[in-house]
Amino acid sequence: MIGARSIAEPTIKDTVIHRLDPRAKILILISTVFVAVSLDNQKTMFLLFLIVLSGFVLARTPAIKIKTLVLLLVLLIWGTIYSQALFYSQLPRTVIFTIISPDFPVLGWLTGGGLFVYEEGLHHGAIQGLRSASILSLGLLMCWTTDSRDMLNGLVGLRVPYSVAFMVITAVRFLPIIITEVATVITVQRLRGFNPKKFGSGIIRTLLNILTPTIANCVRRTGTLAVSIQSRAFRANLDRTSLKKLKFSDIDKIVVAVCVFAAISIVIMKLIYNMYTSGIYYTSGLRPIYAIAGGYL
Amino acid sequence: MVCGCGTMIEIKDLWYTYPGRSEPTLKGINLRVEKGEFVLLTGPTGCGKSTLLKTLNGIIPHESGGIFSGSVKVKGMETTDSNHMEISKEVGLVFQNPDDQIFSTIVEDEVAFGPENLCFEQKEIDRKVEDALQIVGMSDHRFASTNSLSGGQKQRICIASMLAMVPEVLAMDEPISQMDPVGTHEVLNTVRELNRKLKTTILLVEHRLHELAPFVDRIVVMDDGKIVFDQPASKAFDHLEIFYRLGLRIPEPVELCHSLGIKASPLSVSGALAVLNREYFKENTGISQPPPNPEENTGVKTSSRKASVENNAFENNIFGNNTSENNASIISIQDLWSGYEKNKMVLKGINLEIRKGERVAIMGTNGSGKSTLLLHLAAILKPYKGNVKVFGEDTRSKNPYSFAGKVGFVFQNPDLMLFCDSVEEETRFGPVQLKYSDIEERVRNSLEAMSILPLRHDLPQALSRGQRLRTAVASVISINPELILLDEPTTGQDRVNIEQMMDFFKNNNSTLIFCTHDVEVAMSYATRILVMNDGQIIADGKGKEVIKDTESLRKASLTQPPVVEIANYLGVNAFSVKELVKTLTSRTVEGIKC
Amino acid sequence: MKNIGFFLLVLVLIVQPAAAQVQQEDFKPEDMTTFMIQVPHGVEGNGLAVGNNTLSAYLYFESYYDGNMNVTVELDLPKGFVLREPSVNSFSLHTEYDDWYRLLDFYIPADTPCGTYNITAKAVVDVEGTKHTIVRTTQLKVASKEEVANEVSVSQLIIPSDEDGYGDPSHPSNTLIVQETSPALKKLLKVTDLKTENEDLTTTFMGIKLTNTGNSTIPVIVTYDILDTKTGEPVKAFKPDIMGMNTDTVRYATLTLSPDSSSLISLPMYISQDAMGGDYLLRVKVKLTGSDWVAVTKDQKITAISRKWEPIITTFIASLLGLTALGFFLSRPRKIMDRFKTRNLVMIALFGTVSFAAINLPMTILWELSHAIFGPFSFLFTGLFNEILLYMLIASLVVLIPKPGVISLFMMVRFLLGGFITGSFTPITFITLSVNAIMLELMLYAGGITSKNPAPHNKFKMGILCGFADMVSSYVSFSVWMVLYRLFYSDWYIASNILIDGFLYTFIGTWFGISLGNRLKKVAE
Repeated sequence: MIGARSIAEPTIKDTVIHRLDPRAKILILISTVFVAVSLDNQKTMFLLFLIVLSGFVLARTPAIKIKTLVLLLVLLIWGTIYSQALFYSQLPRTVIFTIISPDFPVLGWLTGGGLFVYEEGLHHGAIQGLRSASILSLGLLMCWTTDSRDMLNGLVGLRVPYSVAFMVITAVRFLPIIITEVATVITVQRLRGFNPKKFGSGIIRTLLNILTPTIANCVRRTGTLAVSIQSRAFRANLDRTSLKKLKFSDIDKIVVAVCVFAAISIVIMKLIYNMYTSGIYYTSGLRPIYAIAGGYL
Repeated sequence: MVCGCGTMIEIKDLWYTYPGRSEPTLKGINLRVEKGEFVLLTGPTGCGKSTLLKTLNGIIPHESGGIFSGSVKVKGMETTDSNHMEISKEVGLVFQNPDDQIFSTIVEDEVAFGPENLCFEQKEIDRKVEDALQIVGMSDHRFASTNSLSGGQKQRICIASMLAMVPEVLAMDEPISQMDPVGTHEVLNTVRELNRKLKTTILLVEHRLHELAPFVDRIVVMDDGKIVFDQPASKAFDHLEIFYRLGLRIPEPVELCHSLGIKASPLSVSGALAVLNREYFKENTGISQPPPNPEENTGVKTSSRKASVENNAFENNIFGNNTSENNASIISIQDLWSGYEKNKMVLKGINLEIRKGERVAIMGTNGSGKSTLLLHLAAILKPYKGNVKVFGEDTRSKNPYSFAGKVGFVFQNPDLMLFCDSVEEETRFGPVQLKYSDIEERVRNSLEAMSILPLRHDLPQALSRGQRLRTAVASVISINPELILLDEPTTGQDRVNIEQMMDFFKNNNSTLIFCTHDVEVAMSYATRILVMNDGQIIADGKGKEVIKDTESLRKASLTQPPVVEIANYLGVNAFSVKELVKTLTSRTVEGIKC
Repeated sequence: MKNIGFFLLVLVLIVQPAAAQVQQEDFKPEDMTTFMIQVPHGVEGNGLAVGNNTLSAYLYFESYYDGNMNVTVELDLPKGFVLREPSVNSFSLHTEYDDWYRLLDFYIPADTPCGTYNITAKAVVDVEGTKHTIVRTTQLKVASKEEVANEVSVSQLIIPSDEDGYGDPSHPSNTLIVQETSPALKKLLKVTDLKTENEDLTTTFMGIKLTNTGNSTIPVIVTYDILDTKTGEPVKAFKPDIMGMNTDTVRYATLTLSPDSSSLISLPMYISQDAMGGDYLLRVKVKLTGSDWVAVTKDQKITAISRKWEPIITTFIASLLGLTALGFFLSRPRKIMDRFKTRNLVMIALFGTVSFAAINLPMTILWELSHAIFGPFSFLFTGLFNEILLYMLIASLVVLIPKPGVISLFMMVRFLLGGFITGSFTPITFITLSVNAIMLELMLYAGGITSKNPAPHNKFKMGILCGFADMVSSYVSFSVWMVLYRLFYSDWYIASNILIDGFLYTFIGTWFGISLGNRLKKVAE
């Protein structure tokens, strides 16, 4: 069964991917995000996606995680396909299905002339879905191969203040507890005859019914946790030391350098190309860049 | 136990009022605790004992605000004048629910948190973490996920996270009240070791006086913001009036001796047997093998309840089952297997038949499958294998909503059951949803039954812990379900609330299934006890039968109540102090006659 | 002698009108008229035609004679040519510069032998009873279609080009840029000197190089259409009306192709702002002048790139805002964090967890599921979580901790938590959450809700403020999706999302969130 646990929990192994420093992973992710956002070329986008997927192979990801990944990717790409099939606004476009015909009362007017499913939109959605799919996959790979506290240390190493890191780790720690509590709250109400599926005016009541006990419990818990944390000298000092010290290995340095360099290059090339295509800036000296960006990026 | 090395805590004329309140919570507290002392601070709910603990490391008033007067000195340092870091080093705080104290996902991080904040060097932190984990016996779990630990282990981690800062004082606020017997055992063992070996001064707040009394040097009782009693443990039970008056549970051996008119306050079974041997029954009983010293065997000893409920066990076992035996079957479980993962089944082949009118207590350690079994009965979980039939309907095709109105469920944390704007609304919610006709009557009856009618306009979430439990119960009984399921309703609750709830169910002849760690509650209210271990039912029968089955109890980390243990050693059949007293008295009379 | 001279002068002046009269009578047809024939119309010189085609012969007569004249014009076509209209036309011209013209359609049958034919037009001018004849002859070469088609070719299309038809390397070839023309943006683009096009539509040019490999002069008209590649229909957005005129009237060129030569011409291309990006088919058509027969067509796939500056600039500003806010926070973290007690931090963290457990996790599945069920109206459902539930949490958190910065911290926890759990350290989440946080912080602070004397209990006020803040962040969110992820959203969809999810749901969520917060406050006490 694919549940919150299979989404959230990392699998700790000793692979190339696992051994990467969390800071390196975060920087690689950020670099990849920039690349993914910059790319337009279908083949290159697909290549990027394949490269990201190969990370899962290198990390020897267990089957349940792969299943989860596939499910999430299918949902994501399907979502993009579906929305783009409706809103595709490029030509040519071929209507394959009419959802709201232009002369349908009110809705026809509201939707500015009907709503259709366009064949080309499906294709566009699938291509653009690759972009978010690459980002999602790499994010998951990072999470699944990094212990959350290492990630936290990584963030602190990247100058995220400890107080913030503390909040995040607290949030992570309480996540399974709160998920269980939310499930319990829903069950309690169902056993008392309440049907949360009921749509309409009751929906706000339902949301409040779920939130009230859950948050009230959190508020109550807050007092104890805060006192417990304070009694352990939290924020008593300007600085703090750390038991775990992250080490940036040579491989980390090389990988990060390559990724960051590649990302910066791609982003700059793409920017230059976009300035050229928008008629903002052109110089003949940059022609090779225009050619590369136009052809491959 | 007192080493006399100097005063560790000195509180003089301490008054404290929380912000926004007019009535002070602490009213002129004077207390002196010596280094290495183990002090039990007890008293009824709301007496101010937890507040007093928070003054020890300056959280009150530094963080909380409010009106503070008087003096609190720890190791000669005035807490109001000292900085947070200095005080933090000296006083460690441990609270009731370990889940509310642990913020890290990994044990090591949790324990290292304090030393890191105190800016120790990396090596020093590493050493302190190792030492602290070793002291609490959790070295093997250094890299474990905090979520994977049991309650007792978590609490030990909480203690370790304080110990890593090497405090002179460990102030603990009801650290065992939410523990199962194993957890309680683990925590108390740890605390005792700390006190003995490291000479750590312990100030422990707990209302389970009867369980703690054998371990402490001194008992301090608070009531209404004041210290009303302060005696060494050995002399504390010479006069029981104050304990009775404040509703505090007295160790069964003490109660037994006092009921027999013996002027002694033995805190353990062996002590009681020694006294009994010496005083009256030497010739008659002929104890051949005295039980081990409780200080060596720190297994939890549950004790007796006040006289009014003592007859329960007797009644339950004599009449309870007989009346329900012919009743219709409500629950029928056949070969139930259940679990979240295929290779980690929580329930392994459960077969069970429960009839209308039965009150079934399910006992066992955490993880034994009690709660999972209960969840199956409300169709919240579905069997992996086997059948669960509730009211003749297979739960596989049902959801909790299908049993709404028939099955009432009170969860371990009643707070999760309260979501309405007032107590009355909370009680009305179920009947309204189920479109019952006599709503007002149901609401009124259930509020009255739980004695919360005067609170009916109050916000449920803002009530006290006991009142919240009673509101949650009222919200269930207003539906008048045919089957009531209670998941560890006694956890963290004080006696009055537990009794009120259980008495209602008993008097109402409800079909009741409840999970509990409390042998005493099970004996008092259940017509039948199931003992579970590792997903299986290892004992099933009337209370008296099960309580005698020491092997099953041992497997489930349960122990007999001291009075049953004493009765066993004495070779008599008794399950409560009253029964034992009656038996022993009659035997003495017979002996005299002879 | 002087007197004689004076007398003569007076005499001349007196007889001047009479002399003029004499001059009138002295009518010279070639000098005092213009008579012209073009076959086909538009061709100066000899024309070219193909069989089985209808052509127009153009006859033009203009008088420079200040008087009445009756003219009879007769067109004489070669044998076999079929004139569709009367061959003889009579008319009167009355003053100087008075003129007459006529297009006379005639048909060249398919079986007309190829060759050069003489076409004669004869004008008989009757001036005061005197008839003068003017004759004009032109030659029309009748060629086979194959011959013409082989001789004329479009040898090069340069898109876009400059006004003279030469290629502009500063623009990518075969690509048109569809520029946005919103009023606000126009100003901005003018200020930044980015915008050079006219106000309503984008204009660019294409260069067309025509080659005539034959040995005859070929008069042609060049025009083009931009077609939908699927339907083959012309796309309206590339044929916008210009000052009330159909674009067809301005986007053609006539030229005469000399034998064995090439000519480069340019044609304007008009792109209205509602043109969609995508691939189109540019079809250049070369017709023989005066004929409807398309001698040559040349197709070229072109791409229109839709550059909507508003979302781009919005995304840019939003990113800048987010980064600035982050930079501000990272430059003084301690100062900011010290404003919060530890219990505040814990509470914010736990609210973050609840938001993740109650919103993000169920949304992972429900988002797509609701899209499948409710289609484009799924926002009505997802908004219940993303807006109502979220703002219940935000509003109750603000009631519990009415301090500036609390929402930013909450958003930060949400962002990092999403990153930790699902690795969603994405630019979209960063920009959306940071803009949301900034807008809420600003609105609530300005509205006195989190200011020095916090007043978080006015449901209406806080609902409105949060509603506006969320409308802005919703718009930003769509812009970011469109720009960074190249996704399309209809205007109506964006508008309804902003109004319903952004404002209405937010308002409702905030309203109930304040009640919830007030209840929780009692719990906290």
